[in-house]
Amino acid sequence: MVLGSGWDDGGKVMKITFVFSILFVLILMTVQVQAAKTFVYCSEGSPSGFNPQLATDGPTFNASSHAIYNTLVEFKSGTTEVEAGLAESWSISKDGLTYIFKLRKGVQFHSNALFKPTRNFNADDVLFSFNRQRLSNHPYNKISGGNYEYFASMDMGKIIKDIVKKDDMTVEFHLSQREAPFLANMAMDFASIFSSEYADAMLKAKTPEKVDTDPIGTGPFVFKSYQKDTLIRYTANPDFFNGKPKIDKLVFSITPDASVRFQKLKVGECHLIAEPAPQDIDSMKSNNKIRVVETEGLNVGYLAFNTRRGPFVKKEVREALNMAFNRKAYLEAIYMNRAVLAQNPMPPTIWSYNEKIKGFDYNPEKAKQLLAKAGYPKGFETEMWTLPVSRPYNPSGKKMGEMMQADLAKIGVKVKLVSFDWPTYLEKSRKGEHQMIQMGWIGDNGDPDNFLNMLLSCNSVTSGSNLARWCNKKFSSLVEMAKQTSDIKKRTELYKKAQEIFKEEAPWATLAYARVFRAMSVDVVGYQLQPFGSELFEKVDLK
Amino acid sequence: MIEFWYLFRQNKGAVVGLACVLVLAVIALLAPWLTPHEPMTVFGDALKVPPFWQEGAQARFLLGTDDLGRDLLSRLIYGSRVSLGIGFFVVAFMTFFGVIFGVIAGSFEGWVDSLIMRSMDILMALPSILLSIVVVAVLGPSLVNTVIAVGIVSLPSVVRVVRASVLMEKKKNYVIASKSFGASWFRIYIINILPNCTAPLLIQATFGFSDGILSAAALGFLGLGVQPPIPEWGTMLSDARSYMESASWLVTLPGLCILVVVVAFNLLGDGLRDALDPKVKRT
Amino acid sequence: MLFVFLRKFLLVIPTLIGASLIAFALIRLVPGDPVLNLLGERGGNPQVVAEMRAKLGIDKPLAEQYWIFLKNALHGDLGDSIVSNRPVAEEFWSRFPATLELAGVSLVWSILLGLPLGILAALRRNSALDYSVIGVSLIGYSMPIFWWGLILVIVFSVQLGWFPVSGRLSVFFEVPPKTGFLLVDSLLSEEGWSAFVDAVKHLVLPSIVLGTIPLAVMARMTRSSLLEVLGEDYVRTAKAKGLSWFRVVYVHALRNALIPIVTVVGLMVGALLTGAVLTETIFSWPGIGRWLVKSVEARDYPVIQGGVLYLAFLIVMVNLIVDLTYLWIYPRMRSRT
Repeated sequence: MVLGSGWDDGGKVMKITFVFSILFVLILMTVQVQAAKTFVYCSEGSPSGFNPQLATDGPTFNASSHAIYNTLVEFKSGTTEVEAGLAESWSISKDGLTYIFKLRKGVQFHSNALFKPTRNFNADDVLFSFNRQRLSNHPYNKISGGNYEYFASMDMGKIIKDIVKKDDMTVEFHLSQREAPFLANMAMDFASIFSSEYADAMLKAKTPEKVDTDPIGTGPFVFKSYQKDTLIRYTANPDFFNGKPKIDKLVFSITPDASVRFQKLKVGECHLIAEPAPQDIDSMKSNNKIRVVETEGLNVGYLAFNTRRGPFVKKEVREALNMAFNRKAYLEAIYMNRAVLAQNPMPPTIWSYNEKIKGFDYNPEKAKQLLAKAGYPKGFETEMWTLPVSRPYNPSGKKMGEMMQADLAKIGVKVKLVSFDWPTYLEKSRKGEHQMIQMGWIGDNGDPDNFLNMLLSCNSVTSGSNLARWCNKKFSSLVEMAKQTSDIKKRTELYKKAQEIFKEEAPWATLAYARVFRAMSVDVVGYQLQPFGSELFEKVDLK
Repeated sequence: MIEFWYLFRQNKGAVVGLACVLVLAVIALLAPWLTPHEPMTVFGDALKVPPFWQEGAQARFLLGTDDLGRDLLSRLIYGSRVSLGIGFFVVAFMTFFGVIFGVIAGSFEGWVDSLIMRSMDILMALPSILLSIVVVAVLGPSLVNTVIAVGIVSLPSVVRVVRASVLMEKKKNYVIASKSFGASWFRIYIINILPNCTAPLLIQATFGFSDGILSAAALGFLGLGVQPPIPEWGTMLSDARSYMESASWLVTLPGLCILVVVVAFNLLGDGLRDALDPKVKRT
Repeated sequence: MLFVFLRKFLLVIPTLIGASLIAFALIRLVPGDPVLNLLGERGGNPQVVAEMRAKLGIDKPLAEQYWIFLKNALHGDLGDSIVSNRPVAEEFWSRFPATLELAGVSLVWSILLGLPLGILAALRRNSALDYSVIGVSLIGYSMPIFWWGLILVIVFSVQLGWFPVSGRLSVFFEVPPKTGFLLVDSLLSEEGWSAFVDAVKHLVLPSIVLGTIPLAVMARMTRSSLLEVLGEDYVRTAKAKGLSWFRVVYVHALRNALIPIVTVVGLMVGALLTGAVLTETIFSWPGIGRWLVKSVEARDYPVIQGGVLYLAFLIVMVNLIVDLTYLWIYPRMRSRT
C-alpha cells in the first residue's frame, strides 16, 4: 500500500516532470521560432552564378560578393570612400607602383557540407583569388568557362605585374603603370577573396566547379541553397569579423517584374524590394506600411552623337541639338522627377565634379540659328537609337525617343527611331553604326576615371565604350595625366578641366542623374542605400 | 455556292461572326474618319485620363488616355488596322507558301514530298513561340517581321491540308482523264485540282487569321512584336502592364479588343467548316 | 503495329537532327553575341573580346561548331550555359519539373471539367446548357491568355487577396527539393500539409490560365465527337434494342472520349510551351519557358541548342504516342497511315 502509494506518487511526479519538460521544450521551440528572423529581399533577377569574378551584373553581385564575400578594402557603407576590409591597413610606394596590404588576423571562412576550414584567412587566399583570374596556367583559370569579364574589361591583367606574398599576413601588388584608381578597384566585386584551402580540397575531390556553385567566403552570410529562378537562402555568419548580422536568415526571392514586386511588398511577401518602378513610387509613399528611401545615384544617362558621322562632325550641330532638347520635360515624364538634370558626364556624388559648368538651356530658337550657321538651315534627317532595356539611368528609352523626336522636329531635324534588342544594340553601337544613341553608365568604383576615361577617351573608342566616338587629344591627355597622379588635389584640377572641354565640344547631350530608390516594409530598420545600387544586409534588422 | 450560303446562314454563330468581321473591317478602313484624335498625338496635359464610366473622365477622351496622354479610343481603332493587317498578311504568307509547298509535295510525291514533309515535321517539332521569338530576334522586331515569324510558324498546317487534298483529288476520274489527254503539270494541278482544294483552305485561312492575330499579340506582349508608337493591341497591353492598378482600363480594353476579334474569326471559321466540310454536312 | 511504331520512331531521328540544326543556325543568325551581352555597357577592347570568344569556342567555323555540338550531344553532353557556366542538362532538369507540374495540373483539371461539360452539352443538344457550353468554349478558345492572366491577378490576388501574386511557394516554407514537383516535395517536407496547401494556392491561378484553352478544346471536341457517335447506326441499333440510355452513352461516350483527351494532350504539348512562356512570365513561374526566352535575349547558344533539342524530343515523342493511341482506338485508321 505504502509502497504502492509511493509508486503512485512517483508516477505522478514523473508525469508532472514529463508534462513540464514537454511544455518547456515546446516553449523553447516557440521561442526559437520567434527568434529566427527571416528577412526577405525581392530581387530583380536571377544571379548568373555565385562567383563574382565570373559576372558583371548587379543581381549576381548582390547574391555573391556582397552577401558571402569580402574584399581587401571595402566601400564605406553609403559612400564611395574606401575603408579597411580584409586588409587592416595598406601603404603605397612613392612611385605608385607597389601596394602593400597588411591582412586582418583571425578571420574565419564559412563551412558547408563539403568543407570545414582548418586555418584562418591568410595571404594564400589573396594570391589564389587574383591568380586564378590573372594567370592562364593557374589550375582554376579554365574552371566554369574561365571568362573573367570584369577583370578583363578593367584591364587588370595588364595593370597587375605581379603579386608577392611577403609573409602570411602581408601581400604586395606590383603594378606595371601608375594607376590612381587601383585602390578603389580592389574594393570591387571581382576582387572578392576566396578560400584557397577550399579550392585545393575541391581540386583534390575532382569537383573544382563547386568553388563557384557552393561558395565559401568570409562575409556576413553563409550560403545555404539556391533554387533556380526562385530563391536563394542564407544564414547569418555568427563569426563574421564585423559582428554577427542582426537577422538570422536571409532569403532572396527572385521576382523579375517590378509591378509584381510591389504587389508582393504590399501583401507582405517581401520586406524589401529592388528597383521599384518610378511610376509606383507615389503610391508606395502614400501606403503607411511601406517606406521609400532614396539617395543620389552614381550614374548618368546620356544621348551620344556619333562625332564621326554626318552632320554631327560639326560642333555647332551638336550644340544646337543640345539646345533643342527640353530635358526638364523628360525628367518629369520619363523619370517621374526621380532624377536630377545632368550637366556633366559624371554625377555630382563623385569628387572633382565641376559645379561651375551649367548645361545647355532649352532654346529652340537659338538652336535653329546655330543649325543655320552650321549649314543646315532646313535641318536634316537622321536616326536615333533608343535604349531597348529599362535601366535606372533611363527607365524608358522608347518613350524618351518619342519625346526627343518631337523636340527635334521643331528645329527641322527629322528623326527616325530605331531599336534593336540589347546584345544587338551593343554590337552595332560598338561598331559605330549609329548616328545618335541613348546610353548610360553606372559607376563601378566611384573614381572619376571610371566615367571620363571609360566613356570619353581616345582609347575607349577602340574598346567600344566611347559611343560618341569622340577623340579629343586635349581631353584624353588630361584624363591620362590624372590617372598617373596619386595627388588628389592635382587630379581634381585635371578632371575639372576635362569637364570644361567636354562642355565646349558637346559630344553628348547629358540627360539625367537618376536617384536610387528602395521600398521596404516599415518594419525594416538599419537599411542603408548604397550609391552603387548594391545591397548590404549585415546591419539590417526587423522590428 | 447557293447551297453553301444556305448552310452558312443556318449557323447563327457564323452569321454573327461574319457580321463582326465586316464591321471590324469597316472600322479599320475608315479609321481616319472615325477617330476623334490622331493615334500618336500626345496630350501632355492629360495623362492617364480615365474612361467615361469612371470619375475624372473628360468628354474629349471617351475611353481615356494612356500614360503619355494619347487618346485610347483612337489608338484602339487604329489598332484594329494593325491587327487585321497582321492577320491578313499572315494568312496571305502562309497560304501562298503553303499552297506552293503543298501542291509540289502532293503532286510529285517521292523524295520531294518526303523532303517537304520532313521539313514541316521539323518546324512542328520546334516549340512555336520560341521559333517566332528567334525569328523576330534575327530579323529585328517590327510589323513586317512579326508577320513573317507568325507566318512561318503556321506554315505546316496549310502545307499538310493542301497536300492531303491534292493527294485525294488526284485519284479522281477528272484528273486521270486530263492526264490521259497529256495535260501539263500546271494545268492539272493549278487549274484543275487547286480550285477543288479551296474549301479546306478557306477554313484553314480563317483560323489562320485568328491564330495569327493571337500570336502577334502574344509577341507584342513579350515586347518582341510591333514596336511603339504603332498602336498594336498586344504591345499596348504590355506597355500598360505597370499601370495595371492605377489605370486598369489600359490593360482591360486592348485585351478585350483582341478577344472580340479572335472570337469573331473563330465563329466565322466554325460556320465555314460546318457549311463546307462534307463530313459534318451529313450529320 | 510494331512495324508502324518502328517506322515512325526511326523518322524521329532526322526530325531531331533537323530541329537541332535549325536551332543552331537561327540563334547564330541573331546579331549580337553572348560575350558583348556579358560585357554590357562597358564594352571591352577587341583583343579581350576575341579571347573570351575563343574560350567559349564560338570563334570556330560554324560547321565545326555544329559538328562538336552534335558529337557531344550524342554522348549526352549538351555543353555549358554561357551565362551560368553550368551544364545545360542540369539547368534544364532543374527547371523542367516546374513547367511539367503546372502543365500537368492544368491538363488534369481541364479534362475533369471539359469532359462532363462536353457530354452534357451533347446529350442536351440545343438546350440552354448546350449553348452556354458552346459559348464559353468559344471564348476560352479565343482567349489571349496573357491578358486573362493579368485580369485574374488583379481580381483574385490584388483585390480579393485569395491567391498569391506569383511564384510557386511562399518563402517561409523551406521545402527541400527531392522530386522537383512541389506538390510532392511539400508533403515530404517537415511542414507537410501547410506547405502543400500553400503550393496548391500558388498553382490555382497559373493553372487556370494555362488550362483555359485545353478546357475549351476538350468540351468542344467531346461534344462534337459524341454527337457524331450518337447519330451513327450502331448506336441507333443499340437504342432500338432497348439498351438503356445511360448504358449507351456511358459505354460509347467513354470510349469516344479518349479521342478528345488524346488530342488535347497532343495539342497541349505544342501549346504547352507557348502557354508556358506567357504564363510563366506573368506569374514569375521558375520554369523552362521563361528560361529559354531569357537565353535567347542573352544569346546563350548552348542553352538554346540543348533546350530546343530536349523540347523537340518531347514534342515528337508525345505526337508519336498520340498517333499510336489513335491507331489503338481506331484500328481501321491503320490502313490509311
